[in-house]
Amino acid sequence: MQIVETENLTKIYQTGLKKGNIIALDSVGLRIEQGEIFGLLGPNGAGKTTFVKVLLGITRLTSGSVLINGLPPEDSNSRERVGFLPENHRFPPHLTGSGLLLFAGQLHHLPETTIKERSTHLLRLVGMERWGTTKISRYSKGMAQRIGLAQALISDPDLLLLDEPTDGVDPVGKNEIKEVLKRVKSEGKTVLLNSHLLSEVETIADRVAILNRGKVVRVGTVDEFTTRGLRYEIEADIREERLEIPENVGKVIRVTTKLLVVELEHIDGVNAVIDQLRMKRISIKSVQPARISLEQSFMETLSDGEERI
Amino acid sequence: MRGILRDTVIELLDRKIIWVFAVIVVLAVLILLVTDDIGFRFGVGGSGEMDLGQLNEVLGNPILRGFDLFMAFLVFLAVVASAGIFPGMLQRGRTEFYMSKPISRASLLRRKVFAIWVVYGGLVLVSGFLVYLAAGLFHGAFDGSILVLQLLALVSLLIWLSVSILFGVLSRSTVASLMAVLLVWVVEWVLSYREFFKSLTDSSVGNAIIDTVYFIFPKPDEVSDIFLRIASDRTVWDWQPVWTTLAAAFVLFYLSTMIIKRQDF
Ligand SMILES: Nc1ncnc2c1ncn2[C@@H]1O[C@H](COP(=O)(O)OP(=O)(O)O)[C@@H](O)[C@H]1O
Ligand SMILES: [Mg+2]
Repeated sequence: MQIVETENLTKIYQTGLKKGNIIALDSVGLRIEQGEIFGLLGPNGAGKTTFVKVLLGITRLTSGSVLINGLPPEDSNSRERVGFLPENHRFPPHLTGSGLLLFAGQLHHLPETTIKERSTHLLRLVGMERWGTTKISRYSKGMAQRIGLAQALISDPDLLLLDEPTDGVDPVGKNEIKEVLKRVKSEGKTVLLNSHLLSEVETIADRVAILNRGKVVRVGTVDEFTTRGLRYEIEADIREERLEIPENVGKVIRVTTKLLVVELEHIDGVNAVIDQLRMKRISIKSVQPARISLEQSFMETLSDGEERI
Repeated sequence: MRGILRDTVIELLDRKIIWVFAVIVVLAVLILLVTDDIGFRFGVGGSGEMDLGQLNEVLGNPILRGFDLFMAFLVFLAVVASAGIFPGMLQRGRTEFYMSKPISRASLLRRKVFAIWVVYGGLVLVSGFLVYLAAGLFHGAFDGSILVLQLLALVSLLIWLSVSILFGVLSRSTVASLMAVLLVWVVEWVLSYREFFKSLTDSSVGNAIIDTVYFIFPKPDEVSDIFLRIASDRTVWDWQPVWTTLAAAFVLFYLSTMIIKRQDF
């Protein structure tokens, strides 16, 4: 079942008379399935923040449609089981950490006993149990981020929207946040993760979409992004540097004494290449699809887009 | 609702506004304490050639006048102190917190307005009551009609909030919101000379425009005069300023709701 569904979602910000309009989102159609961690990637200004704000009804869409749990954002009930950690947040500075959780719970119409129980649990979960009675205005960026995550979880949300959650958090904290997200996912919840830090998304997201200048450039699983078609890496004891494979099988991209990289025309080509190596009595250690980092894939996707424009 | 009320109280305490009110109450009580009884009665009651009733009819009861002025000052403070609340709530990074919750913008606004009115109004009432109590203890100046002025304070606060909140929501700036309050006050004062302006023009259209503007514009000062008349048992000839002003306040609140619903954050 889709928990988030957008179709032709377009958002145009009307700015001052002279500057004209900014198309922040351009016909975005995304479906986010229940229970997945979905990464929304893109350079600064791509429209990631605008996208989540439209989902929450904080920013009004210009055209197209959005459904959250089957409800449009204008219906405040659509946010009943949704948690949100905004980017660059400034939570009410007069509240303490626990006070923020209490207030968030009250705005979610939760009974006070439930809020108290969950607060204790959540403060521990984000490693802030010692700071619950300190005012938010005294928090460091990383602490504010942790309390922000806790308040997003107070309603025990089905859908968690996180906008640059690791912003300003130290490496230990980043790992802890990652652990929290895995735990949230294991409870069957859905997470939409906005980030420009790809290496972080790579390890936890199930699917990602790349947004550039308001357009979805590519959507797919992390695997689809990081494997490159039919490119294979074959680890072997290659003594001779001159290796040739028939043209209808594929071509050699790179060869060293330990590694052969080939780009195949067809998946069956793997066998042909192995046969050839074995015929030359080359000992094979491993065969695997060549992988690139999400970052590399991202850069390539973006530059492809540039070429087309 | 309880969450928003509680948040409003915490913000009030955090911003130390309560201390400003406390200092003013203490000062007022001290002034009452050092005023000697005879001077107070003289200043208050008059006596001599004119009898009290007559004086009352001409000036209004001076105790009531003094108290009215004091309450107006408290209301003014409450408006200034609360003017930053909506701009603060609607600033980037903070408004996302409220708006991502399952509560509509209209009801968020309604509840917050109510909370501000109750919390800041409560502060004004308690401060006023303490001073009234001191006046009664030191000078025996207990007077039940002072309750009317307490009610007036609540009504005035609501009227001024309708202005400061509308402009706070519209501009998201505390300064702009206070300027709007000042502007309304000035325009009311200018409109109080409407007969003079009407005498400048012969055109009936011009006169009609001036009358209409006067009619729909909030008239907090006139409302205050009417309440003072009620408190001092004088006859109220025309209730029009009260109901037109309350109507204007509700229209302004309605506009705030419409604006907050349309805005992008
Ligand atoms: N409130 C706003 N008014 C006008 N333009 C905006 C507003 N918010 C964002 N934008 C513009 O919309 C585009 C997308 O911004 P944003 O959604 O914040 O991108 P991202 O989160 O991917 O960095 C940017 O060009 C930005 O300048
Ligand atoms: Mg952003």
